[in-house]
Amino acid sequence: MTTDPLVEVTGLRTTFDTPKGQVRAVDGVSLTVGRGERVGIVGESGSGKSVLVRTLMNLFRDDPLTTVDGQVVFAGENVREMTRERRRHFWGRDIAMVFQNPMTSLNPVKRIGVQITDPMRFHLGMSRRDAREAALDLLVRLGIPAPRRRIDQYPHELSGGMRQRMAIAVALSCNPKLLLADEPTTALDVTVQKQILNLLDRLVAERGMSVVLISHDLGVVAGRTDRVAVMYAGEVVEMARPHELFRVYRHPYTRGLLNSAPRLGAPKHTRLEVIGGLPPDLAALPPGCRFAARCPQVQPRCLAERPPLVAAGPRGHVAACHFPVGTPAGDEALERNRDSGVAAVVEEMAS
Amino acid sequence: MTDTALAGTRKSPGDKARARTRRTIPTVRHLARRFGELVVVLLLASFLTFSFASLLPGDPTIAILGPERPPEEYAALRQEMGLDEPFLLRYVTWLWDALHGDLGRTPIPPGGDVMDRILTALPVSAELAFLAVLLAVVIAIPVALFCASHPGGRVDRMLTATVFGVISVPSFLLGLLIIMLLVNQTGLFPRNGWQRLGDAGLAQNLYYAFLPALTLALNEAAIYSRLLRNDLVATLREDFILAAKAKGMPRARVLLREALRPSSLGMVTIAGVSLGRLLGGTVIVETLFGLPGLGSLIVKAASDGDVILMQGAVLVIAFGYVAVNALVDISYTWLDPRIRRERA
Repeated sequence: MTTDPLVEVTGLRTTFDTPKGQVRAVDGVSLTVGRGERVGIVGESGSGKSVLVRTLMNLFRDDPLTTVDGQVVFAGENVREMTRERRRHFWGRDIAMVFQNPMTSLNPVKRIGVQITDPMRFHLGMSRRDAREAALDLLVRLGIPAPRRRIDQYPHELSGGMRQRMAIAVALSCNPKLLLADEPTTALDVTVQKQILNLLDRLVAERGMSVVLISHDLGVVAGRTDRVAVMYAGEVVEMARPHELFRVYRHPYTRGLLNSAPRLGAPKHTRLEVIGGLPPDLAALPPGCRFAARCPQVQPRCLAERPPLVAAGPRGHVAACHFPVGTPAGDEALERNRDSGVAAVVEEMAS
Repeated sequence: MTDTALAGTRKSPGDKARARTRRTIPTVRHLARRFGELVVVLLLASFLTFSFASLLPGDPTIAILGPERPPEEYAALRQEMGLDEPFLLRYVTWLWDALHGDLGRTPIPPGGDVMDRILTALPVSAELAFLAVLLAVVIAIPVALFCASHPGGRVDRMLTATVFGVISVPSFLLGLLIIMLLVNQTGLFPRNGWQRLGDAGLAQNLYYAFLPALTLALNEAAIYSRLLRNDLVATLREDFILAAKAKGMPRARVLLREALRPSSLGMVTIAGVSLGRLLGGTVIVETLFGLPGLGSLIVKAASDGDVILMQGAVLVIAFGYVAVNALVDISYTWLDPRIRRERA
C-alpha cells in the first residue's frame, strides 16, 4: 500500500488469567494495516480474531485479568502509551468497531438516534441538531427507509439487518480512520449478509477508511479485502493477497479451511472435507506447531519446533509451516505420511 | 440511493406526528389496563380488610360500652351500628360510604370521624415513607455505581460487609444510635416531635422529619445498593456496554447514561414495595421519635379493639400500596421501552 502504514502491530500477545491457567488468546501476532487498506482475518471460533482486534484497540486496558505484551502503533502513536487526554477521543473518532451481534450491541433503552449522535456530540462537539441531521444523512446513505421515523425508534423495534445498519452508523458516525468489523454479518440472515457487506464496502471505499474485517468465512473476506491473514490458535499462520491465498495456499490449515467450504459446482454427494480434531487448549499449548495434531503432513520436526512466519510467495505472502503445501518438502511429507498410514489416521478422524 | 430512502427524509408533516402516536397509543392503552387491574386489586383488598376486621375475636359493642352491662344495651348498640345486618350488605354499605370519603365515626375515645383522624396521621407517614425511600435511593445509587465499577475491589467488599451489618441491625437500635450521635452528642437535630408542612413551612418540617426518615432510609439503602450493584454488574457485562466504550464514551458516562437505567428495574420495584410498606409500618420509628403517624394510629386502634378505625386505616394503606405499585409499573415503561410493547 503506502510506505507509512496506519497501524503497525508487533509481537502482540494477549493473555487471560483464568481458573484454568494462563490462556494465550493472541500469541505473538505482527500485522500492518495500510492507509485505506482492507485486511481480512479468518479463522475458526476461538482462534483469537476478536481478541486481536480488541487488543489492537486497547479495549482490555482496564481489565486486571488480561495481560498484553507487544506494541500497537496507530498513525505513529503508541496506542498503549496514550495519555488520558489523547485516549478520550481515540476510540470512536480514530478507530471504531462494529460488533458481531446487533441484537446485543445496541443499548435497548436508548433511542437509535441518541446512540448514533452520542459519539458525534462527544467527539466532534456537534450540537444536538447538527448531529441529528448528520445521523439522518448517514441513515440515508445506509439505505434505511423512512429514516426520520427509524431514528426515534428503539433497537427492539428493528429487524436484525436494520439493527446492524444502525450499529454501522454508530461506528461510522465520526468518520474513523480505521474500522474494525468483527464478524459483522455472522448473526444475520444469509439474504441480509451480502447487502450489509456490500454496503460496508461502499461506505468504506467512499471514505478511504482502513478496515479490518473479521470472519470465519473465507468467502466473505475474499472479494472485499486487499490482504487476508489466517489465524489459528492465537497465531497468524498464513497471510497473502486473497487471490494468491486461494490459489497457492501454503499452510495445511488454510487448505483445510478452503476445502471445508461446500462448493456449488461439486458433484452430488461429494463428502465435505473437514479438519479433524479440535484446536489446542490455549492454556496448555504444545511446544511445536499448534496445528500439528490435526495436520495430515505432520513430521517429527513439527512437534518439537515452532515454525516461524516466513516468505512463501510473491507480494508479501507469508506462511508458518516447515513443510508448506505445494512445495517439494510438503508433498514429500504428505507422501511419507500416506505411506506409513499417519495421514490416513488424520483423515480418518476427519470423517 | 433509492427513491424510497430519499422520500423518507423529506419533512412530511405527517411523519413526525405518526411516529408520536405510534409511541403514545400503547402507553395509553397500557395505563387504561393498569387502571382496571387497580380497581380489582382494591376491591379485593377492601373486602379482605373488612372481613378480617369483622372476624376479629371480641365484640365491638363490648369494647365500646365496657363489660358487665345489661344485654339489651349491647343489642341496642348492635342494632344502631348495623351489626345485625348480613355481612355482605354491611360490606357494600361500608364500601359505598368509603368511596364517598366516609369511613364512619368511632365511638371509642378519643372518637371522632375516622377519615379525619386518618387524614391527620397520613401526611406524617406518607412524608416519612417518601423521604425515607428518596434518601435511600440517593444513598444507594452512588454506592452501587462505585461498587459495580470496581467489583470485588476493597471498597466493594467493605460496603458489602457494611450492608449486611446495617440490614441486620433493627431499626429501633439504629434509631437510638442516630439519636445518640446526632441529637445527644452534637445537638444538630431535635430529639422528637413533628412540624406540619402547612403550619411550619418546609424548612422546619424537614428539620424534624430528617432523623426519622434517615433511620428508616439506612436499612432500605443497604438493600437497594446491594440490589442495584448486582444488577449493574450484570449489565456491565453486556455487549452494548463494550460497544459504548468502543465508541469512546468515558467511563462515568457509560455508567450513568448506558448502564444505570436498564439496571434499575429491580431497585425501583423494591423501592415501590418499601414505600407501601413504610406507609403503615413505621410504628417503631414513630414511637421512637414521638410522631403522630399512621402506624401509631393503627397500633392504638388494635389495642383498643377499635374495629372501625382499624378497617379504615388499613383500607387507606392498601390504597396507598396499590397506587404506589401502579406508579412503579408505569415507571417500568420509561425505564425499559421494551416493556411498552410487550404489554400493550
